Amino acid sequence: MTQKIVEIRNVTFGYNKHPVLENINLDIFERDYILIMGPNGGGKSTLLKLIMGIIQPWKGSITFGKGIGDRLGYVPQFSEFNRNFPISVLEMVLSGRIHSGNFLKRRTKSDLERAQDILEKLDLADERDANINNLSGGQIQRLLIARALVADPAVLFLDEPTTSIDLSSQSGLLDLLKELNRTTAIIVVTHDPTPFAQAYNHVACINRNLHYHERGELNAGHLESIYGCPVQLLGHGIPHTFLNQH
Amino acid sequence: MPAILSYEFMQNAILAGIFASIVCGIIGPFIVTKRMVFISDGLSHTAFGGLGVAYWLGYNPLYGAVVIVLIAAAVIGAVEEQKLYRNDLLIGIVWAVGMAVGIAFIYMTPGYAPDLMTFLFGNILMVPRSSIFFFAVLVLIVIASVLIFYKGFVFITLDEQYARARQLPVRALNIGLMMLIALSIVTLIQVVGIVLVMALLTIPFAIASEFSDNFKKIMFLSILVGIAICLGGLITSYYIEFPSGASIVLIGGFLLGVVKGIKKLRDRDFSTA
Repeated sequence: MTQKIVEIRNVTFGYNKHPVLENINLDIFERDYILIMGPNGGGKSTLLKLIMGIIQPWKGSITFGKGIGDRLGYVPQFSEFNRNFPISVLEMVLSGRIHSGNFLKRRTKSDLERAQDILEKLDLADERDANINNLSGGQIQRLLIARALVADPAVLFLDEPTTSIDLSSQSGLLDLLKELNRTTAIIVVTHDPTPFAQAYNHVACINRNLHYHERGELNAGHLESIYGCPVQLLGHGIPHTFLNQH
Repeated sequence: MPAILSYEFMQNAILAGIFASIVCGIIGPFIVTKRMVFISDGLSHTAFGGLGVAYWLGYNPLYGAVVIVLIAAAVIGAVEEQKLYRNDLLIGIVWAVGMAVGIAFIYMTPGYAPDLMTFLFGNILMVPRSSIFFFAVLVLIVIASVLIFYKGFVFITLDEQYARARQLPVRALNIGLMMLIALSIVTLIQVVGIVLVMALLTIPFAIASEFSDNFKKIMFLSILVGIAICLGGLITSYYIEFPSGASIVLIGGFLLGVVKGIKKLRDRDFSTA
């Protein structure tokens, strides 16, 4: 039986007294591939930050399966790290190994070996000593994923991973996520689910509240109620079919 | 040994310049990359309040500056990070009130206060031997702290949210870094003065980062650049009898202009070739 790894119960959170998320409930199981979608400002990214412990919920609880709390991988949006800071690709990936227990210690040989492995796996080995500011959008996306993977996560959260990359990088990313999904739960926040249509197995729609759907049960009515307007609905399989013109 | 080096005031000046360059090279890169220039400038002006109070009480003004700057740093560092960066208002107020407190206490102290002009505009040629020992202690604290907490400071500078996600003590690290900035500022006040402190925290970094994009190398180069600027300014100031703080800053600005200019010309050659 697949194990539950994250349990979110009645979580409410907001900014400046305005709730952004209300009574959110969500269970994440091993090897899930969940799309979290919804309109801008609907609280998608905020939910990831709550799960990662970057911000604390007003009420409710987020609990993790045994040993999972230390194994959360996070791929934030592009704009969220300091592009001003001079650092190489290798050093950036190595920073993903740092945690509360080792930030006062020197890096170990296994940190370095793990980082090398990940760089090769994500096709960044040639860029190892390059400054991160000289990378393309697709390479930065892979770098951020590498930084998360280097800590051997049990679950990988990605925030709008397709926004800043071109189409060819996008298909590479989708293949990578599919491969990772054999051992790792994948949670993708996106406003555009089309690229992920083939791979996901659940959808969580967020607009202040969360609605959870099994693959296939989602229909135009659900999406309309979330987005507050008619929405193009994607069909599954190739070629993708679009129903309900906006 | 040249005669100029046999004067005690000159030895003190050289040591003060070297100490100032070391803390600038270590802390300056964090200030610039973490976009804390305005906060740091606010802190250095706040120091004037401490100087004034200590002067009025009859203590060494530098001790007063250390106390008030550390308190201000702890307060600013403890404010939630989001509010900190958007809160120009708070910094502007702390800045002005600190200055005003200093002016008020100097006014209340009987007699003329020549030393305090030194603190505003700096005079590296008038650093007393007692201050040199004091600076040495501050420099050692800064070096030791950055050696111990380097990974943490880099992490919160590079990606504070990710550091939080990895459960680092982000708030404590922020407060710690602010405190180190405060100690650095006190070391610099005597050399270039409150008004010009930011020059030594930014110019060496700006020059060094033209030559490297490795953070550790930039730190090391910044120290060397700082020493060159400080000693150059010191010698200029001694021989042409020019204010030392201004000499140091002007030499730094000039050097930065030269480096940027050469780089620009070279880039143009490549693009037309």
